[in-house]
Amino acid sequence: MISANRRRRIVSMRLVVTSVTVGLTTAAVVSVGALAERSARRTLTREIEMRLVLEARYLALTSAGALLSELPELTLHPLVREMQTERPELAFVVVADHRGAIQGHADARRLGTPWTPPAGLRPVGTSMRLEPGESLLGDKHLLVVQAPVTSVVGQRLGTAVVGMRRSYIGAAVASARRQQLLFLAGLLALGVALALVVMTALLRPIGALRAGLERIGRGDLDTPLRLRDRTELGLLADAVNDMAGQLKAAQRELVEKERLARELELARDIQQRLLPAGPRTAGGCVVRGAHRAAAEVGGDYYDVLPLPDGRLAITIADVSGKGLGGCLLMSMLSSLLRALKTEHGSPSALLVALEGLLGDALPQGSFITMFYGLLDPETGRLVYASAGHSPVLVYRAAESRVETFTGGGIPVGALRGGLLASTLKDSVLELRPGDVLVQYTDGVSEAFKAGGDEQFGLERVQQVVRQHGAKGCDGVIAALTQALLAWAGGDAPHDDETLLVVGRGVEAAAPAAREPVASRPGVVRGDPLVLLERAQREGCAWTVPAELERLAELHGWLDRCPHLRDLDAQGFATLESALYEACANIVEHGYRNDRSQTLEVWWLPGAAEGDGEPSGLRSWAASRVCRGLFVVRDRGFPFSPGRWQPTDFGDRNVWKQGRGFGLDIIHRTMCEVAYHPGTTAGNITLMRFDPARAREAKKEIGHV
Amino acid sequence: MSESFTTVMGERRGRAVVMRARGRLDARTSPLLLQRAEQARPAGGHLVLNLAEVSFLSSAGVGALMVLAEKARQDGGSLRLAPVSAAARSVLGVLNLDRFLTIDGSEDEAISALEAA
Repeated sequence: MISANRRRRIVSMRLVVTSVTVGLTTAAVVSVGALAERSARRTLTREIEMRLVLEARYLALTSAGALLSELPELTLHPLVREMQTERPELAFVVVADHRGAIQGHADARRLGTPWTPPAGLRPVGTSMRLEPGESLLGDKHLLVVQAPVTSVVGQRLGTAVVGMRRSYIGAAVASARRQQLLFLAGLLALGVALALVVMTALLRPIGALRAGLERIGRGDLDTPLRLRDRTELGLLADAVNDMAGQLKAAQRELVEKERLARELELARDIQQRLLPAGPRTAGGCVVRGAHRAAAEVGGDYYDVLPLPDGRLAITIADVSGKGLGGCLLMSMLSSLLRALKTEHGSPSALLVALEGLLGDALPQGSFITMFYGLLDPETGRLVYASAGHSPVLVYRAAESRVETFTGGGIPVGALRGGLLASTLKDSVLELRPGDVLVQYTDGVSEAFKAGGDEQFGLERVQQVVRQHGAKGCDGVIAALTQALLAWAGGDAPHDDETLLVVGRGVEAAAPAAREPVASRPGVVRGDPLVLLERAQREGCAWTVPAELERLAELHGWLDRCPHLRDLDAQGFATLESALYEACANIVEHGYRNDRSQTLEVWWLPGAAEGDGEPSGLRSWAASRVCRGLFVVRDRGFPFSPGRWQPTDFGDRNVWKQGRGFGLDIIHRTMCEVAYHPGTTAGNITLMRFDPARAREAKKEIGHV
Repeated sequence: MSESFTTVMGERRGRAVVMRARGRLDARTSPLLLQRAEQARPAGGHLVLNLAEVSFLSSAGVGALMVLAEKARQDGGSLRLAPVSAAARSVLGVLNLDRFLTIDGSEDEAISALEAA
């Protein structure tokens, strides 16, 4: 508020109201004055005319006797002179006899001379009633009244004439105007003073309001505005107090929300730490999990624990309850499992023991659905028990079909009092080479369709596993993740979505003949998490904020990468463009230009040969320089650009639109591209680069 | 490499206008090229775009060139790229677009080709 004062010119309300008052009063005074002057002039003129007529009549009366005498001038001359001395406004006073000779005049020399009235006199219209023989005459300068002098018997003896200067009327009007002006000036001064007093009284509460608002602006929401005012300003003060109260409530809510958000962040962190970092391989088996946390953080848990006898204890569980509570139960479960795993050879016995140990720690109404199995990786024999968990799906490679194992006990903690033991039993199943076992939490099967209330359902899970089972663990996880994204949209899921997939001999069984063909994208086999880990360990790294501007730094980084500077100019330029497109896609679609985020790119030169990784990269000859793998990792919206279709540049519509060639550049430059959205380590894009192969690919497309 | 993108108007020669672009032609700068080049080309006329100093060409830049070519074609004119930097040419080559877009060795070559037509 204070800073606003500095910036803005303040117009004082007092000044505004006072100016308006002064203006209005002046206008009223001037118009009233003009009207009053007109009527004053009329009244004064009439009054003066009347007085003049009366003077003339008086003169006529007093002159009658004198005109009958022998020497009328002896009486009339001093009379007239006296009249004129007493009344300086009179221009002349004349008495003439019946012959028209002057008998009374202030100037004695004019006595006896004939009376001629001043030239140019005309009768003046008046509202006064004149006696017979009387006349009122006038011109610009004079006003003249003639009255007949008559004897008692009515004989005409002469004429009495009185003339007055008109300037006398003007002087009288001016004096009246002066008085009026003086009065009005007084009125004006009074008006201004009153306006100032009223404004000061009105502005005092506004000052208090301002001070109160400034206090609120400084964050003091506790001191209410105390304003006793019976005008609308009082209502305003009440509204400000209400507002402060609401602001305070909103602030409290915000603090509470932040606290909850911190708690959720903590819960998410605990959850992430408890889940295994990557896949576990033992014998001919691979166990891999995938987890996508709900906005509220659910209590999903999965783990793979090696046992001293070479077997693997695999488990997946869903703790009822979300947030920090669910996470704490989950962490308890994790510790208990680690303690119990070697003590029980029977999964159902372990689950019963677990329930006993959890005991009262599990609040009433809370329960855990849980799958626990012991896998012999050499034989593929799995002994398991399921406490109310979702069905076990097994993709049978030999028949390309999905077997579903349902049944099992009640959830851990659902019914206390040792009832669990009576519902559980150990089951056995064999995983044959190529088979894939899938276990999931209800977040997967109960994922709601985007914008609807239909659930994903067991049948869809079975269908995806059947269609993609042949692609092994990664293939199944990628396919299920994609299917769920397509089903539920990209927002954080309503409940945790967790997958646990066990494959036997799947990656090992993949025939070498299925080496990816150049220009056929999307099949970089090999675990993205393993490759990411390797890239982080051995690769040449570049971290860049999610800004298109900063992607220009790609050139400098590529130039510093081992071997890449040996590329010819053409190869370097296309490689830079392809990587730019991949990164720009993430910046624009994954991060939506959120500059606070970063993406990471690694260059792993050579090939991953002979390091035991179940990877399609194995058969990739390492002898040639400039070959290698680019790994891009981001934590943005998990999107997949979808299957690439080469753009038909012969189509005019393509030219009109002029968009969407990013994938063309990427796929025609890279031998192989694979997207792994939504892994535990974020979204991973793998791109295999081989300049020789890229040229072949280009040629091939060129011939199409 | 973080140089900005600029365009310089060259001279007008007959029904053709020469325009020189310099710097990175990517998602950020291609709308600029599109706008300036469309303003520069006379109605129904030709545009000779000199890309000799374009250090980087992204898919968005390629798209801008395609839109310019298509608009010129519909308008009864044409777009000629003359000359094109090695970096830009590689990207056009990867997309096989060097067969669809007209590329000349120099501005003079482009102008004489236009005059001969």
